[in-house]
Amino acid sequence: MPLDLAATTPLWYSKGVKCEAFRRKGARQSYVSLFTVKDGENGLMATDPTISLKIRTALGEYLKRDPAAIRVSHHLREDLGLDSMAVIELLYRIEEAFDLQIPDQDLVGLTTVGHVVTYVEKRLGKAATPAKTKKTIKPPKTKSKKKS
Amino acid sequence: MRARVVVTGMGIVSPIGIGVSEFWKSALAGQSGISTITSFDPFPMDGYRSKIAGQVRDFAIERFLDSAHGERVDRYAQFGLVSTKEALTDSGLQMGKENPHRIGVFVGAGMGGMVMGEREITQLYQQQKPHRVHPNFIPVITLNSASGIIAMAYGAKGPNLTISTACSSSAHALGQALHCIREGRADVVIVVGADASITPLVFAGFCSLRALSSKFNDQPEKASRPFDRSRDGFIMGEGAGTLILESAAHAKKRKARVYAEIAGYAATSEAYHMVIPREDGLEVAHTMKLALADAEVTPAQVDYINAHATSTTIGDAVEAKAIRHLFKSRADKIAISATKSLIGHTLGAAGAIGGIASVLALHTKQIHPTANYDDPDPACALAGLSRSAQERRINVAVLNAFGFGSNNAAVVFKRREM
Repeated sequence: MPLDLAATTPLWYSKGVKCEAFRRKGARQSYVSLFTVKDGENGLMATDPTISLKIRTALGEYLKRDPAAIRVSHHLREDLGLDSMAVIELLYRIEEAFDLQIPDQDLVGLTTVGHVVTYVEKRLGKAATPAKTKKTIKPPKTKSKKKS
Repeated sequence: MRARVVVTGMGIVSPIGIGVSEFWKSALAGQSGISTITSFDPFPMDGYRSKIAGQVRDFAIERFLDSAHGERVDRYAQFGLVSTKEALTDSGLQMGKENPHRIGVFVGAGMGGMVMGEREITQLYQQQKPHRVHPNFIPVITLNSASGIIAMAYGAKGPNLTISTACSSSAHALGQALHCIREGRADVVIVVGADASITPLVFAGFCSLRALSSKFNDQPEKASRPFDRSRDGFIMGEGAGTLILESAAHAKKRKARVYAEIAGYAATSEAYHMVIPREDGLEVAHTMKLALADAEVTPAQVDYINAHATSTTIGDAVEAKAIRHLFKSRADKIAISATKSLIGHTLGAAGAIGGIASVLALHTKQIHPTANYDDPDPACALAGLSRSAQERRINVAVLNAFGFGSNNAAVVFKRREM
């Protein structure tokens, strides 16, 4: 189905802003530590739309939900309702989709859709494109509050 | 006085119907559920000696179940979930109003989750990629996946057991559940028999054992012919049956409709051979005798036998010999039917499905025909066998089930007024 990627993949996410927001709340600090990338640091570009789409499609199939309704900010357990076994099943699908092997020690950081996207990008070596500007992108307030 | 145990609900998934009423209508009409195997496609059937089976057609779990419980288990457990849903509805049991710790689940399964099991094993050996083995492989093939998921789906927190004794699995499940309720350890036990392993590997294994019929590949509906002279092996089947067993007191208290009483059970081992029964039939006769004693009835009171009768040359002859040995001259007065003549051998489900046929015989006073009993084999001729349905009021029914590993079980049902 056609997807408006710009709408479903917030540009600011991979800049680490969302992670910072979590960190301030304190609740999910331990989950995000592996993937906290500060604004401008490493000059990371926006999430690769193909990877994000593949992952959200896999999730959509698994959850029998429209992939367009799945956001990178969604927490796998708390927002999408996956239990620990379901997370393992999902990662199994992702390993297949990207021909990857995810070692056990990496599992602990993969708690949101965005973490998985960032992780896969990193593993595929696609996230290292240097940024051209250091412009700070603020998270849209409506989206950061939203939890569907 | 010991507690009496009754059957208050039934459900079935079978090659001749999903649902008890459809199954019974087809069974009384002598309809065959055996057909050419198509499910292996694209795997070729050419190399198989036998090419037919009793398959459940067009089964899709989501058509029967609203919950997601069926998604994480193999086909046999999905069958069990569906037959149990029907049986619970049929029993009128309100799970929400019962003490869940007094409701058990006993499942008989012979092969377990072979659909996924076989796929994963094949892939691993072909591709040699251990990390590609599915994370659900272990929970799915573990033999108690059905008893586990059924308890989860319906909220039964009492004893939860899986009994695996090949083709006698669910007859033992019935018997163990009877004793469990009798001893006061549960008020209700959901007894399930389930198997669905018509898969390229398992089917090839039964072919290699030379256990399956191979003469009737072109006439599938003629292949399962228990006690007939031209029988040449069994036909593999698949399915599930559920019987809700309940203490008579508990059933009375909630004013449940009672189909029949489950009155006796016996289990023995021939300690003889992995796949061949003792030819004199004495152990089989002894098993039936013990079950009748447990039910406090005499052989003279028996008027129906749901025979194990798989359509193998030796097996049927031994069972007929055992019936003659135990019942003497009464043997020819007992109505007998072989459910496997219609649906093939459903392995772990056979005891539960035979149990349902026995209970329906008591309840509806009708006995389903034994298909293809065209030319009675003198080695196992019994006057009570019939190619057509019989109308007969029966009081005591015996269910036989024998399994590989020298394993015998017999269960006795009584008409409810007795």
